[in-house]
Amino acid sequence: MSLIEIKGLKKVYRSPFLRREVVGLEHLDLSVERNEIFGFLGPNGAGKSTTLKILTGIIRASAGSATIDGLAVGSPKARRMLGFMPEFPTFHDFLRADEFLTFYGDLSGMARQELPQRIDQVLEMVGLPGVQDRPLRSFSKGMLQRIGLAQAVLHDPDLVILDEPMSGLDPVGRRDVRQLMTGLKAAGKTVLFSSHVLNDVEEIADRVTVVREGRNVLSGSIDELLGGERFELVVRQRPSAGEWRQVGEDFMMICDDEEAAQRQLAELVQAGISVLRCQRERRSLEQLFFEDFRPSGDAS
Amino acid sequence: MMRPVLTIAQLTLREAFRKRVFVNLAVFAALMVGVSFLMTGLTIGQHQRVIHSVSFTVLSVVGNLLAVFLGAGLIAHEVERKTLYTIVSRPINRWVFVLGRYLGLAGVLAINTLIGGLLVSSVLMVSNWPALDHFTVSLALIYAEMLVVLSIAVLFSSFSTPTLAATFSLCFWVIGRLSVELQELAGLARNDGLALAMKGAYTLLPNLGRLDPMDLLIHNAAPDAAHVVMLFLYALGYIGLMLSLACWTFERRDLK
Repeated sequence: MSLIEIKGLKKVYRSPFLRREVVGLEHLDLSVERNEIFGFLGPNGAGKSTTLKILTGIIRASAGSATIDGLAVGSPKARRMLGFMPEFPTFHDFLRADEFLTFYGDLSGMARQELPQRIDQVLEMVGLPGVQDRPLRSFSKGMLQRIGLAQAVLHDPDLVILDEPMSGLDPVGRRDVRQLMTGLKAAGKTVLFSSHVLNDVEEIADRVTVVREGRNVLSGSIDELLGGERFELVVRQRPSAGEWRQVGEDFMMICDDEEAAQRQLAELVQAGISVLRCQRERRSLEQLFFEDFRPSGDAS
Repeated sequence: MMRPVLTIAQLTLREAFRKRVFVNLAVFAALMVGVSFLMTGLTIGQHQRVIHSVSFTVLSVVGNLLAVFLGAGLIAHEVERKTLYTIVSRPINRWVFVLGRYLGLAGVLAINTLIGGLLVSSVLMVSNWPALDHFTVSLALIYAEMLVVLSIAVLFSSFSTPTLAATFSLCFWVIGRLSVELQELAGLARNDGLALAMKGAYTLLPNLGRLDPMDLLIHNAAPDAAHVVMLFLYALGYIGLMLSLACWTFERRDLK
């Protein structure tokens, strides 16, 4: 059984007075296995945050089902298994860091005597050692993001759900969050996260799903989605045969496998055309996202 | 289940202290001292009662305004600022949050009322006037009224914005104070529909006028113990009803 099972999930936001309906999720199917890092991708308004909010019991689904370890989402038992950090987290900033984490530890039912040690441990883990006595109102945006992560992992949950965990972080912070997520996986945990930073997703996610207009349009492992390697040939003079695309003053062709690239190279040599570049490369998640899943109306 | 309730109540108390909610007491103290001196020169032989009357009125108004404005933001502010996301995603039921917040603010109001009462006693003691016989019961009645108003504010806060919740709660408090007049007006109304509406409003709205201790203070009349117990039970019942509705509403609410 998958850790998270989502079937036909739908969410319609209704405005009670205006009788207006906005579809947040149309039909989402998803399964997240244990001990994997699962990336949740999609343009703004695609339904990523809506899905994460349903999983964490913040909102209710209009139709369909979602379970965590077989338990219906929204039940306290299901929530006992997860830790959550929302997008742009805001907290009670009048609290000191240790008071803040003690508060969440108490709500999660952690034993009082184990809290001080665990608080030191998670603050170290998220790169905030020694801030126990500092009030949250003195924290920078990046520090708030880190303490948000600390409260999400404080009670050692099996499932960690992070909504845009990289937003607001500098490159060092992003690297630290990536390391934290891979560390969680190494500790046997499952991580589900949404992100706009596609390079980060590509680097750490085992599997991803791409959501668009409330439906998942693509799911699979990074290798499955991006395919194998491909070869890029660049020449200055346009050859008479083949599908060559002009890039500035040069012409470029993408060959799907090594054999095709070798064949094309031989033809170019025979025709006396000098090759500027022949490069082995793999399609990036960013290319996949922009080429195949460009939001409707976005001509760029 | 009590631990998370107390944790949230403690958070509320800590918030009140750190955000200096009790600054109002300093204003109250200054007002009390000023009024006591002023009244000494203006009234003959009624100093003690005037001090009681003015101080209890101020204490009640300030306490109820605190109940309205702090109660109105109790849930609604948390929803607006999205600080609730990480709380409701914990393994607790939402009623735990409502109850914890309510108890925390009830604690804030208790401290406020208690210190206010002590200030009044101090002013009376310094002026060599004894406190009236029903001082404590009057203070308790004022506190009961604040708790009822707070429960109404929490109910509105569970489904609307802080501004709307404060506006509705303020209206309920004012109308609740005048509910006896509503009953009288219902008897005078010539239109049956209007009379029915007034009777309905009288039944549904809190009868806060009954919790007003001014009669006890001004006339220094001994209160009927059974009547006082009934008043507290009425307040408790109304608070229970409002909080149940607040929990029920909040449990079903989508936190967008």
